[in-house]
Amino acid sequence: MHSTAFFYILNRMEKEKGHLHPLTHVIRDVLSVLTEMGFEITQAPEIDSEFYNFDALNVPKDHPARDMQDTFWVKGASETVLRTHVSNAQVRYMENHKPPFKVAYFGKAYRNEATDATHEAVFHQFETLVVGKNITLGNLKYTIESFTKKLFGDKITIRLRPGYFPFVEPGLEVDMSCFKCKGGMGCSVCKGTGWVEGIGAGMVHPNVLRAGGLDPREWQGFAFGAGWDRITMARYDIPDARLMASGDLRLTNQF
Amino acid sequence: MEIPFSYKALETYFEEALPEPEKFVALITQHSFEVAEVVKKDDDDTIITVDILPNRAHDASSYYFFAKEVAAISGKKVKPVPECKVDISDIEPPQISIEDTGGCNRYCLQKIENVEVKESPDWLKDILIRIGQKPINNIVDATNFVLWSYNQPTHAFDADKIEGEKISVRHAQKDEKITTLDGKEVVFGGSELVIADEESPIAIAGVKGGNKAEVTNKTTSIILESANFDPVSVRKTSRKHGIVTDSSKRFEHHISPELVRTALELLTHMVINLAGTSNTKVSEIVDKYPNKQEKVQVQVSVDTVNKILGIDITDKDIAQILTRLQFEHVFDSGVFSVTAPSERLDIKKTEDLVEEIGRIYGYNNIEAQPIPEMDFSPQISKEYFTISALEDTLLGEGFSQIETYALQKKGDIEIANPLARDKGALRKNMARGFKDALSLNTYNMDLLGLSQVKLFEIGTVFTKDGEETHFALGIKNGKLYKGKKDEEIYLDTVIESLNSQLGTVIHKKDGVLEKGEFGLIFEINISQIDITPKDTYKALDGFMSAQGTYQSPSSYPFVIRDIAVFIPANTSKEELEKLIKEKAGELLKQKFLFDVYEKESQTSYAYRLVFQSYEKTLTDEEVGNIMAQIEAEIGKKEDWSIR
Repeated sequence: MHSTAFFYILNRMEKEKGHLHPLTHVIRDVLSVLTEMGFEITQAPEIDSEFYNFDALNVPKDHPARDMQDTFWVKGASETVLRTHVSNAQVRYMENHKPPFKVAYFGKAYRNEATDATHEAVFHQFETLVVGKNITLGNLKYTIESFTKKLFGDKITIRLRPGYFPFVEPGLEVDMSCFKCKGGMGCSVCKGTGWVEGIGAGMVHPNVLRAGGLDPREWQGFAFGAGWDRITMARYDIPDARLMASGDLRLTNQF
Repeated sequence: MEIPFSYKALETYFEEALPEPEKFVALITQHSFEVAEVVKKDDDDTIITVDILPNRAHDASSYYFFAKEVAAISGKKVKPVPECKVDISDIEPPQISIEDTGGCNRYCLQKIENVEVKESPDWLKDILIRIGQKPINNIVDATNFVLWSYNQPTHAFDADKIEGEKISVRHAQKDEKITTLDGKEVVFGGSELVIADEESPIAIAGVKGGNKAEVTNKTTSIILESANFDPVSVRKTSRKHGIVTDSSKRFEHHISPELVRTALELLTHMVINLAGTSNTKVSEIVDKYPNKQEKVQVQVSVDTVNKILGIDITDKDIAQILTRLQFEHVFDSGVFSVTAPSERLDIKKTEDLVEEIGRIYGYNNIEAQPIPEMDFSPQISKEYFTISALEDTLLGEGFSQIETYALQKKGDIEIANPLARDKGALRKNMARGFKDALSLNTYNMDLLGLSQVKLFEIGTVFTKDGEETHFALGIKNGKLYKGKKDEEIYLDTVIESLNSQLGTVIHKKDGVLEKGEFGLIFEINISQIDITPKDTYKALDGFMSAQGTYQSPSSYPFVIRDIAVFIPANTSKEELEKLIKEKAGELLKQKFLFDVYEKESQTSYAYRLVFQSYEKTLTDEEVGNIMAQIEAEIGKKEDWSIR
């Protein structure tokens, strides 16, 4: 005969709370901040046309990114790719919604590149898109600043540098002061520079607005996005991108 | 494209001193490009590796044009382009035939007779070594110098090795061959553009020279080539044959054909100075320019600049920025009409100018301003509401979230150009990945301190019907699991619990159930789960994400030992746990209670102990010693006994 204490243990074992994947921890933080800032959550498909993934985003036909070596094409379907970024949501959303709007989207994206500790052919991104009457680069700066502060703490500062993405102009790279060593020098996250890279941003290119059926003389907007894996890896010191889809509870159960 | 610039070599392009390397790097970072690496050299030089943005690779990856960029952001003056006049003799110039004007925008040749091929002088060797190039001989070194100055690839052929009179730019014939300068034989498919004499190819256009007309120490007469090839054609050839060179990289980024002649004039000037003899004769330049670069005039108004950037810049300040960029401009009724220098192929539209003005003005000087009030009410995403609600409910049921790999060997949707054969398709369900995950985690069950593996994933799968979002559960009961052995009985209770908590009806029959040695997998399309969204995402409300950092697991096997101890009923088990922990030391990776048994005034607690080292495979003896120490310590306690 087992005693009551045994049933207590059995119950505990069954009902012990499970764990969320570290990527989910991070995206929930991101989405909490963004929804609080008035963003709507939306989604776009992972298999998409070259139009939404490239043409509509001002990526010309002969752009190196469209080369076979960088993009996966779907067999037997013409001009169909595994999206190379979550930005395929941009024009899809514009087509079905009248500005002004603030949206956030996230998910898997695919790139035809060899896998190593820092590169995965299957990776994760999140991005935001804001379109309105008089949206400026100053608004972009304010929004990223508030976003990073809410996500990583009030002490975080950002700096903007020139960057290049075909679907925005001006294009920007955003660095934030290191959330680990608080902008001090010398930790593994910022590699001693005091800055963490990884947010791409810019003013929506007029060609993208046009592709979405919007008149660039009337509407302006910005977008910013980041590698969701990269932020997760930096935040939790996870050394290898390949661990994300390993199905291994030795990863998940630490969080 | 990362380009290592020697600070000292760069300085030779300026009339005045550059800012100190540290300040210089900060300036470039803020206004132009990311600096990937800064290395101080013994000889007082600093190598600054700059990651040139893709839209500027056509100019700023070379010294002269990078110097112009530095001039624009620092205000320092660049020296004017040196005069490169040479005396022309009346020797017969080479003949050119361009058979594919789509692939070749401009092609120039110039012949030089009676040169002496030898080692370059120290100053040239020094510069090349400084910028990471290997000196070869005066002719090759001169072409290299020109490439790094103007971003324009050039080439020298041994004139005496060329068969016939005419050099043509044409498509290769199928199965035609060339042996490149580094001795590699290339067999053409027929789509590649080549440079050929009247018999055979002497170079792969824009990619690499052939060894047929190679310049050697015995060469006395040369033909210099400077040309502009179509970026797509060069890229395709380079990729097809796996030959990437400094030249192919330049052409792939589309450089201005206006550079062709400037570069050739500098090259010829250098060759005469470095390899000239009293008898040297230079032909006219033969210049075929079928696709002339048009001058582009772009308009931008002061209002547009301010409206996009959110600043208040004056026309005077804009004019100053354009002058620093060496952009020709005329200002009339609030609008600038601008013509950029020919090498700036990226300046084509108004927003290109806004970007130039913005980055020189400095993005960090732009004031952050909140987004003005917007007439927008965000809608709740039903899909994300469902996903996040499922996640939370499953957590409560003790399930842990995994991600399994999206690419698999087989599936309904195949990839035309897969990375590897085992990643040739998108998964059509999660079952395959879950079998592996169940097996992996069942193996580690003791290490994880579990008596049951309970996994879930919510993600996309791709079937003949299209893209779907599925959710999958994986269950495997371990040997220490005390409930019913059949996982399906457990699944039923989970589904029942989900239904009652989520106010939905998940029918087992709508999903796919698979059972086997691996345990159980249940997978269902979330469109089958009808959850009515609320006004907010409950899962995000007050969500507290995990803190802490990831600890890599050991790659050595773990060893398990069980121990059951009787202690008096009024003694707490924490006391026993403390003793075990202390005696077991740091090799104890996991400890969990799996059985409790009461007999009279005594309670027996059974623990499973998991030992693992980061350094080696533990032996039975090592673990045995630890257990002996624990048992010895227990033996010292009055009324404690090992069962």
